[in-house]
Amino acid sequence: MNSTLLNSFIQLFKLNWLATKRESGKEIKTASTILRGLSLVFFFALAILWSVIVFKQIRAGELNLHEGAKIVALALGPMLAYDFLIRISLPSYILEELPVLFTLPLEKRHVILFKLFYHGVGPLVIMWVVLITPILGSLNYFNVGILGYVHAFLIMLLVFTINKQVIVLAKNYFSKHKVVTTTSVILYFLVVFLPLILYKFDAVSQAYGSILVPLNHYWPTYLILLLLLGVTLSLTYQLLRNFKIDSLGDDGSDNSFQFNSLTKSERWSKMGQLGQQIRLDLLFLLRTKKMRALLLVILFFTALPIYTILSNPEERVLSSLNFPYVYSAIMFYMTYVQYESISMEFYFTQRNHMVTLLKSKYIITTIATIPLLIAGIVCFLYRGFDLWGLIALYSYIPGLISLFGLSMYIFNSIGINPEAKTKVNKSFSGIIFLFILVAAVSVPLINWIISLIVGQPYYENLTIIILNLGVVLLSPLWLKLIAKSMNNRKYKNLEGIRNSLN
Amino acid sequence: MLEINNITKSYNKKEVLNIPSLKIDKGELIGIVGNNGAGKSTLFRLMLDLIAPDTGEIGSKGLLVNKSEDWKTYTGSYVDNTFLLGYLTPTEYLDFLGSLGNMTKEEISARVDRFKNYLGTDNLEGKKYIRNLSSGNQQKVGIVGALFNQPEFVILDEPFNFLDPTAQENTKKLLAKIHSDTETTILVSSHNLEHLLTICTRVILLENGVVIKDVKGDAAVYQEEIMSYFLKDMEDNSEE
Repeated sequence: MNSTLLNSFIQLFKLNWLATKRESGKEIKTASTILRGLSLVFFFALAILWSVIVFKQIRAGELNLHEGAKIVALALGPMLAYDFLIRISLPSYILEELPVLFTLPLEKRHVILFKLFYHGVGPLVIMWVVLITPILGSLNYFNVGILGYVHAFLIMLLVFTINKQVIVLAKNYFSKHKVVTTTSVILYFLVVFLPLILYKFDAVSQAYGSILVPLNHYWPTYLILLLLLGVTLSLTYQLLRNFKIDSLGDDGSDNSFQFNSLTKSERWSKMGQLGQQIRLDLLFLLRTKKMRALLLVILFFTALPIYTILSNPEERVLSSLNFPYVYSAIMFYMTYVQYESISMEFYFTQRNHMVTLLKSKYIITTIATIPLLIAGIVCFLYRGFDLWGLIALYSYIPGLISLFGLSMYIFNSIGINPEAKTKVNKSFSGIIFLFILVAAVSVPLINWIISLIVGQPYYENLTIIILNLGVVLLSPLWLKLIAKSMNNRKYKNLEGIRNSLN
Repeated sequence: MLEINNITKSYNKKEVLNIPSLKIDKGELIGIVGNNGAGKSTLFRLMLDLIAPDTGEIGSKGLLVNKSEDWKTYTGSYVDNTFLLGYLTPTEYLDFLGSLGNMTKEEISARVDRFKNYLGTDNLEGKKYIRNLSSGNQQKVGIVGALFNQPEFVILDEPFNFLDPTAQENTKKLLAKIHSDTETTILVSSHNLEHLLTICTRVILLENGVVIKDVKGDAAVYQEEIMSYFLKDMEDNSEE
């Protein structure tokens, strides 16, 4: 083939630039871009402020380097875990367009290298790196001066790029190489996340073996990280090299998970229209591979509160368990919304049935996240801690989070390529970010405001429970309002689907 | 031009294709026919190295398609609308294909002019992205895309789908003309026997992944050999 690597890169870059520029679902994209920009500026300012405080304290001798490293672990651990979990539910675009590009007169190697290059970093990686660099840089400053900030940037760029590569690999390898992928992901978690979690909880805060101490020995760190990146990239290269079109799609030909007892059972029909809808939703959840994977993720989330409570029972539940409780429900809704557009049931259903559809999703999400509450109660029986705080936190799931989550259906102007079944239109990531930002930021914010107003933890928990109970009791009303808004936007949303699919 | 040896492909332990041997010579215009699920698209996808065979190999000009990529320089194909770049306008798409074929702007423009009547001025001069075109117009863009770089070998999967009667007739004429003028090897699958049997130099009938008939001749021969098969099939079904 005549085309050089540079020519192929230029051609493919032009294509990708046009693809991004011409994405559909503009209004959602604009809203999420603005929100993302604002939150980035806010958190960046916060990160700088934090790093200045740490810097001053270390310089004044009020804080030693180990304690400083603990602060970095406090920020880095959740960032890595959050990044990892966001990517589980986000569609991975690396396989997109491969069939068409592989039949064109372009060298496969060029296409693959471009894909690796183009999908290597991404805005999410940049966001994390920008947020963590000031604080790690301040710490590094005491080792190597101003160069410490450069090291912080480069090392974090490598760490988050590897994080992204691992999840891209895991998502694409999982269907074929389940054992290898699961083992690798567990090993990765043990190596990267466990030391950070342990560091955060003081268990090894003084130990030399923590991940943050070697980070200050720059050249060995670069060597290890580059090696890891090389391994992940070469595995992804092989994955793309061996890509075949029949590996696209969800369950497709996999009929091993049919759950026929659900279809045969009579009890659903006895429950009327709602029962029938719940049965359909359950079948959808259990017969769709990605949704089954999500149920596993919920179980993983369940492990987090158990671990947190057992390692630090005196910690306030409302602040320490925000992440697993809030995010598991968010993930459930955003994956649900993602798939709704493919079923098209919202568009072909009768108006009065729309509320039943929403109610079914509301009930299933609430029930699916109950293991989180049970896990917390079991820990309470074992160790004893702030049970009311736990209930208050859980109340957000049927309460405000569901209100936010189901409201996302109003802006269901997203599309899924019907040929590939599982591929989601790129505009969809806009709605995800919008949802994550609104829900993930608002819950701690509400907690904080309530604590400022109420003061005492007991009343704080009670206020949150009453607030969310109010939302639950008012659910018939807001579900109707959401259904009404959906109907009002019906044609706009359908145009969105047309624009993204045709 | 193309040689298939001992190709088999199964999904869920069900064999969907089994072709012990098939040879396609340069300059042939071959029609692949068969009922739904006969294995036509699977065969095309194997030829384009989009899926991997369970056994066997496919060679294009003596080189295996899954080992060498040389076939891409002389093969044009259109499988379905997912193989189009929906965010480009038809003109941009053809420009892109021309640039991959190292054509100059003037050459691309001259080549576009050649397909102007077939594609229609609206498609070429409009600002609509391919994803916003009707299915029929997308189909036309895909067919032109496959033929644009004047490939020696063309693979078209169901090219008459979604096309209006005029466009179907034009597509038939276009393929016949390209075949007679340039001796391009063309492989077309279709359910539209009326169109296919009048232009093909050879017709292959696939059923349940197996080649049942491989006929060379003219419309009269095909009428007897191929049409009679489907008529008999229809009669059998109506009796059941």
